[in-house]
Formats: sequence, structure tokens, C-alpha cells
Amino acid sequence: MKNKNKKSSVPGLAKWLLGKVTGGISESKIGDFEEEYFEVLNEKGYLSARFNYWKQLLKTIFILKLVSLFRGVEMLKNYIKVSCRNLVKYKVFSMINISGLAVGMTGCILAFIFVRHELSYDRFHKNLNQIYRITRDWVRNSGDVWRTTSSGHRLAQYLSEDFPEIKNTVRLAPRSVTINHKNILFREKVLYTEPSFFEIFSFSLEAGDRKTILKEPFTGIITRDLGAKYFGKADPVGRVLSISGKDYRITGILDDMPENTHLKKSLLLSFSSFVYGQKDEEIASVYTYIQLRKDSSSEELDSKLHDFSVRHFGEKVASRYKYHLQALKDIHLGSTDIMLDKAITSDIKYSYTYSLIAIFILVIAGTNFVNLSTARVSCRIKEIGVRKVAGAKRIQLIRQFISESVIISSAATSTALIIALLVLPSFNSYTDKNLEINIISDPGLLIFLLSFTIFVGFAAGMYPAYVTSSFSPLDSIKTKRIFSGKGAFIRRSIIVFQFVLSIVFITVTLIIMGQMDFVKKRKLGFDSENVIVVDSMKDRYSHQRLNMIRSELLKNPDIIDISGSFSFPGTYAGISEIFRYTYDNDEVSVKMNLYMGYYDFFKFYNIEVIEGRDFSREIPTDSTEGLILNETAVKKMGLKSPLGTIIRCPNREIQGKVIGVVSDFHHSSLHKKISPTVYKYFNLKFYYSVKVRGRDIPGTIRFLEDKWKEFAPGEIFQCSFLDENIAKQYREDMKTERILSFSSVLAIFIACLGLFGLSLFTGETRKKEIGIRKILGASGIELVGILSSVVIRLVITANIIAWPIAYFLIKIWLESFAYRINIDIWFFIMGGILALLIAAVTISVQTIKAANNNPVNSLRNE
Amino acid sequence: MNLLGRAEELVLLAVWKLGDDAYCVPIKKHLVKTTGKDWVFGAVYAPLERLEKKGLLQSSLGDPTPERGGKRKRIYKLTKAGVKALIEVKKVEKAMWDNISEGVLEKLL
Repeated sequence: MKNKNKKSSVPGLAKWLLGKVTGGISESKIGDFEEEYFEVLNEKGYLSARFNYWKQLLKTIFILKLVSLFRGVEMLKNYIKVSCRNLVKYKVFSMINISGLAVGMTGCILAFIFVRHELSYDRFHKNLNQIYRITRDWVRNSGDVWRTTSSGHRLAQYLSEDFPEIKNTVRLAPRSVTINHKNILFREKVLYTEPSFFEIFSFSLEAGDRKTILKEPFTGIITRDLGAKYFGKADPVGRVLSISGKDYRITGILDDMPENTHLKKSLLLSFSSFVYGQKDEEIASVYTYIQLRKDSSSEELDSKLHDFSVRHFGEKVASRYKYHLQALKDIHLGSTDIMLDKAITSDIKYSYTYSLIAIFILVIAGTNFVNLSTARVSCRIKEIGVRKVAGAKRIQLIRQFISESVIISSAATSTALIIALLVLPSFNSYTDKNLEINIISDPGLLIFLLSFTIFVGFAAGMYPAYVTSSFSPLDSIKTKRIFSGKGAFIRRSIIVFQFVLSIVFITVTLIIMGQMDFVKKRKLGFDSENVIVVDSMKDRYSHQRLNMIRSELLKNPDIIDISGSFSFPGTYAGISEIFRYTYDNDEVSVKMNLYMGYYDFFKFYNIEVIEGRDFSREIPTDSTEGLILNETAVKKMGLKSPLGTIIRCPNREIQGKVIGVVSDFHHSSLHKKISPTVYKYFNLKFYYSVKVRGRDIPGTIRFLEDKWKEFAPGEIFQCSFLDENIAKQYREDMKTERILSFSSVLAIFIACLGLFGLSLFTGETRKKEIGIRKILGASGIELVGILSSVVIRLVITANIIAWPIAYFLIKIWLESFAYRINIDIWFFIMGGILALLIAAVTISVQTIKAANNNPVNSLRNE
Repeated sequence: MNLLGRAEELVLLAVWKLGDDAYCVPIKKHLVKTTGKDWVFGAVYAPLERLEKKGLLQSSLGDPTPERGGKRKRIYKLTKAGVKALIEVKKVEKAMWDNISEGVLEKLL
């Protein structure tokens, strides 16, 4: 070399890189590079030499790596081949792992599509980040705040006049309407809205002009599917539907709204028809949505809304009704505290619950895999020894084991997909959704499945690969060492961990079942059997009319009595109000509930009148100023002789005298405490309650329906059984009970699968010990005891860890009930014993077999 | 027989032409000169190794020279099979171009 300075030598980093890539035999190649480098250096100088060197290098690396990738594929093929042979060879092991993982993955697939769907609500709107819904917090006299979404129908106009940052507004009125089509009545959920609906939201029209549609009163648009229901195959455009007594012309066809929008409807009607001919104050429950300009901030607008409200509605109203903005993307999952929200909303807690359950079950299955694989080393130690002697590096063995576990997880994923497809219909009906699994047209799901498969394969395969590859070939001769010490400790910890999870599942489920049983058997304090409740959707009925209906219906011998109330009794506790009365010469105010009932309301429901009387027909003042209290109310008011006490409710302009006291009964679900309640003879819209004899109920319902047509022509007859309505309140709880009992069965099943697999292996390795014990005179029962004692100890340890966790979890759940069972120690003991029994049965197959084995067989082969 | 790939054919031909001096640097230079395209070492290594694997070439390590930073050259030589392959290529080439007179293709432009 001519000179030794830095410029004359090849780039160090590049040289190193080249050495890495080309491997050991590349001396001549490095030489090639250097020769050219010096040549270019001499001809064109330092910079171009360097540049050329790097260019050559990078391109060469690229080409050579491509070649070695193909070699990698060859190696991978070999890994896969060997793995598949192993899977077939150890069938029980593979079955246990694949089935366990498959069940866990099925849960994960379902949880994934569920959560993804929940999070996808309304995300498709182009203006997503600019759209807000106006909410209204109603500060009540009693101090409660009711969060609602209804606003006056002028609000939209005021908003867009006052705030230039609002680009567009739209008013919506979701309603339930009756459609009279060829004299058949249908009930349909519709949305009254205006043309700007299509400017703000990204819904599309199949036919019709987006600019003018829904402008004129008494026009509407319909989806093809719903149109087919009314008009058959004919084009719905231009047809007429009679909705709530008015004729609406269909002027366009709405494309089906996506499943994941909180506004999903199939029939839209023009807002102008909604407000047509009504005074402002008669129009209630309108939802207002706004679209902001891109550069404006919603917080800023939100803070200006109070002043806005004062300006338009005055100080008093503004302090009572507080307007706020709710982002479109928060509506579906962030509206659980909004009252009477007609949007399709949901609680994020379901997403969390499902994901957690799925992950727990998958973890149990995954740890099974870890446990069995490490235990299985004994069977494969010879194979590993031979591989090592033949020159396998440790990394190659690790690759071998990882590819085995990835293959197992792929098999599990494919199985899981099939299971998921099979259970999807039940899952859909359980979650009230319309989810689909279609990997071909669903890249998201495909990516999820692939990455999840690889992740699970790696996560579950890492530790076993590490352990199994760590043995030296010598170990294959002295196998004893493997089964003591650290490996065994980790395996035992894993079993304890699995059983902790299973026992938590079981115990929590047991307590939930106990509580639901308590709910079903609890005496509500009133008769709910054989009561049919008829929902009168529309008007308030006059006194005379009700009496007329009553006497007419009582003509049927199957109908025992008719009464009415403000709501389904047993599902609604009434409206909370401030009441005033005089106590010790002082004017006292107290927060109680107001509830309305008909004559003989308490007699009808068989609620005991402790003092005074029921609302009586004979005493005319009962209907105007008679008030009845429940026991809790008497207690709360501190009255010694309640009869005759004068109570006022200024808010409702009620002033009355107590005429009776009734015993407490469960007004609403057992989640809520019985509240102090004041009953008044009703004067509002109500539900008819019809008590029937238990015979020929279908006939009685037909009779009611016929009569209904006479009394309320043009209205749909809707009736239900009261006890069903009461049970409906526990739907959520029943769902929790169902999913948890199902999951705990799965959890314990998978944990036991693992235990079973493990007992197979330990039975195998302790064969000789058992043989010798037997020869020395141990009985079969003693041997079973010896073999199962470890597992029993582990499960008992798991119990001790699991109980506090279960206690803590179930306490949170039970606290949602005002009336609940005690968390009894017996639930925990029962859960523990159950787990123990299942575990014992699982291993018994193997231990009994091992104990009864003829010692000759196990000792002969040496 | 399997026909050679284009790159393989060019490399094989270059090795034959270069005779005793057939190691990577001159091969590459020759290719650059005849094809007028820029070649990188990687693009030469790959066909060289493939050809060697197929048994058309054999290689041996030559002497280290100072301009190579003291590294030895890997010198390639055609085997009998390599020569046969070239003959085959030539034959196919000739058959393919037979009856196409000079300048016919250019007229099509």
C-alpha cells in the first residue's frame, strides 16, 4: 500500500458490515471490494471511491440476503416438517394444547370483533371531529342533575345565529310512530330530520336530491328493505304512507345506514312535518347536532354556552338547564349517564369485560402449553441430545421449538376460527349485535389473527424453548436432575396460577348465582302474577272514559280487576320531588318520590294498607287531595300519627292530606333501596294493569285486543306480563351470570386439561418409584394418595390466593344491589371444594392406572 | 437440459474469455464494458455461486496481492460441463436468430 493514512483505507464500518453479511468464507470477496476501492481512489479520488464502495456494498448485501432468505426458507421447511412429526408423535400433548388454545383464541376472536365494532361507531363520518351533540344538564329542585340530550327546537337556530364558528346545525327527533297501511297497524321507529342531515353526516341516498330532500312537510325517505315491507317490489318513490294519521309522500330512497351508527334508522321524515302546526312550547325532545368549522375549538364554544343561554332564555332558566357539547365519537360509548337517550348506546365496560375474560382463558391455555412443554423434556431429551451432538447450535434448537409452538398456535387459530363461526349466532344474540366473521374481506381480522397466532406461539414457546435447549447432551443420560429444583417450582407455580384464575371464576359465578336466586325468590311485597299491563301510548284519558273502559272490561269473567298506574309497578320508583309539611310547628322540606296510582291501586296489587284506606271511589276528595305514604316515608318524615297530615309539593302544585299508610314494597329493582314515596291519585298518562284468572290467557288477551280497537282506534295494542317486565330489569345481571358461568366452566376445563397432561407425564416418570413402593407393600390407595398429594396441595394453595381476589371482585358487583345476600364463607369453600374435586377426578384416571400397574412392567426394562 | 439464465450466461462467457485472470473484479469490469450497464459485485457473486453449484464452474483461491489489501483472489475456471453449456447456449442462440437477416429488426422501429 502506498500510504497508511485514513483516506487510503476502506471504510471501517462498511468492511465490518460486509464481513457480517457474507460470513466467514468471504476473504476473496472483501478482497474484490478493496481492489476496486483503491482503483477508483486512484482514478477519481476519495469521495467517489467511498461512494462507489458503499453503493456496491449495499446492493450486494441486498442481493446476497435475498439468496440467503431462500436458504432460510429451506431451513424453515425442515423445522416445520420435524415439528409436524412431533405433533403427530405426541398426540395427547398436541390435542390438549391445540384444544385449550383454540378455546382461548375463540374467546379472543369474539372479543376482538366485538370491541372493534364498539369502537368503530360513527367513525365513518367524514366530519367526525367537527360534529357535536348538544346535551342539557337539568338541575332539579331536589338537587339531582339529570343529563339529557333534548333541547328546544329553536336552539339550533339561536346557536347558528350567535356563533360564526358553527358551520351547520341539524335537528333530529327520534320517535315511535304508528303506520296504518291498508288497515294493518305497524309500529316503526323513525327519525324526523332536516336536509342538513346529509350535509353533516356521511349517510348516502340511493335516490333523491340531497339538497331538497326532507324539506317539505309530510315527505319522507325510506330504505329499500323497509320499502319492500310496505310496497313489495314496487318503487317506493312517490308512494304514500299513512303515519300517525297523516299522509307522507316518499320522495327518496335511503341507503342502508351502516350497522355502527348511533342513529341507525330505516325511515326518515321531514322535520317540518314534525313541528307542523304546533306551538313552540308543545315541541319537546328535539336533539340538536352542530358541525363546527375546522379551525375552531369545542372547549371554547362549550364555555360560551352559559352566557348564550342567559341571553336567550334568561338567568333563571340558564341556571336550571346547562348546555354542553358532546363529541360525536363519544356518543356511543360515553352516554351511559344520559337519561332517556334514544341513540344506540353501549357501555365500555362490556368491551373490557369480554376482553379480560378472553385473555384470562387464553392465559390459562397458554400456560398449559408452557407447563406441558417443559414437562415433556424428559421425553425429548434424547432427541435434543442427538441434535446437539450432531452439531445443532442452541439458537437452532430454539428456532425448532418456537416453530413447533407457532405451528400449534396456528392449528389452534384455525380451530378457533371454526368454533367462532359456529358460536357466532349465539354470541350475536347474546350481545344484541350483527357481527360477522369473514377473513377474506376483512383485512383487519386477518392481520389480527396472523399477528396473534405468531404472538401466542412466541409467548408460549419462549420459555420451553429456552429450558429445553439449555440441556447439554450429557443430560440425556442422567435424566434425574430435570425434575427437581427450579423447573419443578415454576411448573407448580403455573398450576397454582391457573387454579387461582379458575377458582376466582367459579367462586364469583357461585355468588352471582346466589344473588340472582335471591332476586328471584325475594318477596317484592306485591302480587305480580297474572297481571297484564297494557301500554297506552298516546293520550291522557279522562276520568269518565277510564271508568267506562273499566266497566266494559269487567264484563269478561276472566278479568278480575283493572287498575292503572304511572308506570309498570316494580320497575319505576316515581319522580323525586321536594315535599313540605309542618313538623313541631316548623315548616320542613324533605326529598321523596311521587308516584301515581288509580283507585284501589293497593288492593289490586295486594299491598297491605296498615293505616287508613286505599284511594276510594266513594270519597270524592280522595282523587283530588288524598295522599298515601309508604312506611319508609312515614319514618323519614318522623310522623307519629301520619293520618291527616297535610303535605305540599309546590313544584307540582299539589297539596293534600294523608289518608293512608301502606307497607313497603319493591317499587323498582332490588338494585335500588325502597325510597320514601308519596302516592297520589293519578291524572297523567298511564298503564292499564289487568288482573286475569290464570285460565285461557290467550283468549283474554284477544278479548283485550278487540276491546282496545274499540276504545283506541288507530293505536297499536301493546301488552306484556308484569312479572316479565320485572324480570327484564335483571337482564344485564342475567347476562353477567351467563357469561361468567360459561367462562368458569371453560377456565376449569382448560386448567384440568393441563393437569391431566401433566399427570400423564409425572405418572410416566415416577413409574419405577411406584413399582418399588408396590413391591415393598404399598397398597393401591396409598399410592393414589402419594401421587395426588402434590396436586391437592397446589389446589389448596390456589384457593388461599384466590379467595381474597374473588371476595374483592364480587363485592364490587354486589354493591350495585341495595338488597343483596351476604358474602358467605360457604361460597368460597364450595368453590374451592369444587375445584379440588374436579382436579382430583382429572388426575385420578392416571394415578389409579399407575397404582394398579403390575410392578413387573415398570421395573423389567432395566 | 436446463437453459442458463441470462446473467449466468454472461458471467460464464466472461469467465471463459478472461482465462486465467477470471476473478470477480475483472469479470465485473468486463460485464460493465460489454453490456454498458452498471453491475454490482452482488449481482456477479450470485450467478457465480449458482454456476459453481451446478458444476459449470470450479474455483480456487489464488495468490494474495497488495492492491487487494492482502486478500486472496477466488479464481474461476470453466469445467467440461461449463464448456458444454456454452456450446448449447450458442446453438440455441444461433437457431433462434437463424434466417433473420441483418437490419431487419431495426426497420421495425
